[in-house]
Amino acid sequence: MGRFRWSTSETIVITVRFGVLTLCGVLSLLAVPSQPIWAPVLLVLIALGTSVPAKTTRIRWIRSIVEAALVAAIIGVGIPATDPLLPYVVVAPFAAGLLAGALPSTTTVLTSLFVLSATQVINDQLPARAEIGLIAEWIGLALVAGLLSAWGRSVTTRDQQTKSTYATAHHLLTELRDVARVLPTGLDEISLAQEVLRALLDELPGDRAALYTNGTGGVLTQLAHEGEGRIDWIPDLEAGCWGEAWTSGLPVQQFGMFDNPEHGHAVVFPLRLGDRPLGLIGVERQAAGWSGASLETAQGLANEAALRIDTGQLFTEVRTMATVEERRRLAREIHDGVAQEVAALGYAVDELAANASDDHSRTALMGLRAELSRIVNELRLSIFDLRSDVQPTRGLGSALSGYLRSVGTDSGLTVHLVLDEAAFRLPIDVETELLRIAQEAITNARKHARARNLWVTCRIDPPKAFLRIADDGAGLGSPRADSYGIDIMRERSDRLGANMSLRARVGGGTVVEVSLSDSVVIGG
Amino acid sequence: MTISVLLVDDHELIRQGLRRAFERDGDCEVVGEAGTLADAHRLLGLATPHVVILDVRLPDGNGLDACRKIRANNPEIGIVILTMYAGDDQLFGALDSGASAFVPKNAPAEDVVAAARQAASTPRSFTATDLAEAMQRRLSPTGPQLSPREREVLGLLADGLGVAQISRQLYISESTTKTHISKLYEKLGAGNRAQALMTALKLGLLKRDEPGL
Repeated sequence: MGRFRWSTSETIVITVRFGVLTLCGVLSLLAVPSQPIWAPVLLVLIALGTSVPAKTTRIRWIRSIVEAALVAAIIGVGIPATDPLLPYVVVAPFAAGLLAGALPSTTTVLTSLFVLSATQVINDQLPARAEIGLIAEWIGLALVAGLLSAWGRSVTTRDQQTKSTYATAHHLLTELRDVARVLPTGLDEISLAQEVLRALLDELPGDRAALYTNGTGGVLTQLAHEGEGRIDWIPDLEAGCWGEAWTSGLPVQQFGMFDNPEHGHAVVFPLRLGDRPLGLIGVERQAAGWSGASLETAQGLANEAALRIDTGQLFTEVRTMATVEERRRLAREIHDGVAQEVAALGYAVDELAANASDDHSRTALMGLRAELSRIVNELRLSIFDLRSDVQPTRGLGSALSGYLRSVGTDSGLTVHLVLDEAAFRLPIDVETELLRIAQEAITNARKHARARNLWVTCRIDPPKAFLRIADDGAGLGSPRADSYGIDIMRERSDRLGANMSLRARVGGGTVVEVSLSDSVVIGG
Repeated sequence: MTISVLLVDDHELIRQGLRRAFERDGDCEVVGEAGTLADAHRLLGLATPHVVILDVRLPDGNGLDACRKIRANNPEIGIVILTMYAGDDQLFGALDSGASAFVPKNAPAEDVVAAARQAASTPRSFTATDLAEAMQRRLSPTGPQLSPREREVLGLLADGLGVAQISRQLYISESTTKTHISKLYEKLGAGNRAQALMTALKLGLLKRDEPGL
């Protein structure tokens, strides 16, 4: 009977049921006036019938009430001869408590009480005082047993809920991994946003469109744009059609384009997940406005896109969190471990140099000391690298200038920085990758090229970005020396879908350029 | 006079190396060693040394916070911040918390001893190897960097022009002007025009006698 699978609770109930039944049987055999055989036989039949597994709590509840009523009727009719069977009234409330809860258990007890009393009235023979005491005792015990088992049930259920939360999380994460592997664009929020804009423009012809999300630090971020030229609309969430779409959750159309209120039309679609505003999509065109029906279709696309983009952002956030945490851990490890040991070694060499008996060994030891100082300084800068990050409140520009300031401190490089940032920030993970590329290029210039000047240019115009790091050092030199760093830079820029070039600088030195272009104008 | 020194660093080897360096010097004596801030405060409660050599990252807290606390209790004690962390922020952090000297851990032990001597004689001054360069970097506008266009807009804002007027003067659209202004506010960390102008003035991005460009 493969269909019949008892849960742990049901197994306990069945054990108790037949245990009590056996007890009742033994008591009946020991009873002084001999027992009518029909009562125990009926109880066995009821016990077998109620041991069939039930699926829902409601069915278990009803089953317990029926059991209680039948048992009470059988015992009640036979009283006082059926006294030895009275312990069995405990079984139904116990089962109801463990399988359905406190309320079902209590109702079961009340049913037993009611049926027992009713049978006495029907029998038309009031039981003796001792009988009443006995019945009351067992009914009381039944109540206690039922409540205890209901408490046991609540404890185990809580346990199971924790377990099932983990199971759900596991299931979701597995699914996420599969989705990230299978989806053509993965879960990269930028490509997702670009895809959404293109699909939207297919449905709703327009000249230019841009998608904004409620990104880092509560500031709207332009994830993607389509159409000619740079888009620097600044959505005002408090007023105008941006604000209206943001608060109402409905598409809002206006006369006049965002940049040029005298001509054309514009429309703003809200991106929402349930009631939570996620972002906005703006579309504008020179020509006439759009029909209500086409706006509705486009809003449908936007609604669909919201979930995808939010998932992409969540995924990115999780990944960024994990990376940042790991980098901090590494920084701590270097700081507390090898860096301190080498520094202490330096102090030991200082001592040897101070106690050296001849000039020759003193010079040699001081050379060694200089080398150790250099290594410790490298470690300090590595720790600094690992701890530098873009943050919700601190974008690439300020992270980069902060980094350069500190690198200048410890290397004697003269830094020339040109920053040109648009009103919007890049997504935080893109900023992070760009910062890492810059760090790597700067480290190469400092460490291997022994440069004196460093020129850093950083232009950000989401979703485009341009980064140039030039130095007047020894140039690329032998390809072996820093090829590892270059590989890492290439890997990072590939991950962004950016172009990276590495060339000799006119007049000596190296130039590294990374340009992240709009995927529409690849190669342009 | 012998200079008494308390070493606070959670690395035994570092403490040992420094102790030897102070012994070699002859004028200094290490009177105590602590691996935690709790121990350091306990030792400071027993006797006040002339100088405390204080690491920044300790198992039970931050050395700079401890420095501030020690300075509040002992205005005349010398405090040398010794750290593995790099960057101007650390140096200025040490200055702000009332340290007498800042020495990175890549410097030779003799530098630590020299800093301790200096700290003992003038505890309220501040010495660091490249203090001058760091000051220069702090003063030079590496903070907010404005593009030429943003400088123009800032100048016009300072002259009291509105968005529409600025757009006309620079032959750009109003929304472009707004972009520049919002970017300016962001770079200056300002919420409105008055704050932006005040910050720009403080940072030397605007000169009082210089009219808009």
